[in-house]
Amino acid sequence: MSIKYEVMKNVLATNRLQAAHNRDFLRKSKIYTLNVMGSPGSGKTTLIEALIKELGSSGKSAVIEGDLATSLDGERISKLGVEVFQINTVGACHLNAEMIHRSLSQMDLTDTAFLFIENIGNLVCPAAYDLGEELRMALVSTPEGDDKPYKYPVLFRTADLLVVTKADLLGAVEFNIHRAEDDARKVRQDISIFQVSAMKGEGISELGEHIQTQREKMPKKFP
Amino acid sequence: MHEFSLAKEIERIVAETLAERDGKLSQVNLVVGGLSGVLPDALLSALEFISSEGPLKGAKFIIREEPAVFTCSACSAVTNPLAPIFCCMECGSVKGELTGGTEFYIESLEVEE
Repeated sequence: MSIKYEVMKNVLATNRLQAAHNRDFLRKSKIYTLNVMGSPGSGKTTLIEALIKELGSSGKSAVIEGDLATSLDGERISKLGVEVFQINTVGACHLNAEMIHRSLSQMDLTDTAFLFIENIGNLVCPAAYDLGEELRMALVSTPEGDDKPYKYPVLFRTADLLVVTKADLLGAVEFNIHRAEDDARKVRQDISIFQVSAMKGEGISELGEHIQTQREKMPKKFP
Repeated sequence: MHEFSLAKEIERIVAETLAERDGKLSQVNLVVGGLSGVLPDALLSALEFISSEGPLKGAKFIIREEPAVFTCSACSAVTNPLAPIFCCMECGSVKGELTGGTEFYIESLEVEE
């Protein structure tokens, strides 16, 4: 005879619980955490480098670098003299809250004001995982094409911020900025949108200011 | 692509649930929302792969897919928008809330006594 047992358990419940724990710890430590998502080559590391410099006068930054393998990005960022923790997922396509928890326990976060988490270059899997961050930032670089928010709505729907990177190439590549912005707003009405060129330094101070303003609104604990 | 990690988490939850009960697992009933970021086919492949042994051994997996649900604040209609654009299918307004489609849970287990 067959018996049915009701389970009704969310498969991601454990991740959500761990993310809540991370968020509580980070808020109590007054660390404003950003989850940086985007395709490989969208400019995540370069943008983080630019923001660390931009925000330097308001506080120290630390970085958790997620990569499949190699510590190339971590080495690049540590040249800025900030605390960097490298996670190698050995092929896994996303970071989860447990990995962040383990990283946090091994980092020196004294006086840290901003924590950047560079997610794995991927516009699919990171969408499903809350890491305990305050701000989810999704990048689209102009050479990738303006259709990315439309093609990856599940990820962009979870993003608080759309950053169009390599904006200095607008005009040189086929990228209709209005289309990207309109689609992003259809996917998520209240998304904030910024255009930057980290290499030329354009738009970085506006983005830095936005991050500062958001940080001032951060609750002191979770929930 | 993250479906393998999800399949392992399902295995863990099933083992935890079965620890308190008798009988042999025959079926796992899952619900996957269209906006959960989970691909049902990929999840099935991963589950089939890991169920050759361990707590899920011999089980059948049934996935019920749930569509996105948009509750419109302009005309109050409750419709099923199609990705990628989430708006009211009645009046076209984007003002409203997604009230379904992000779920991803184990609904029930079936065991043979």
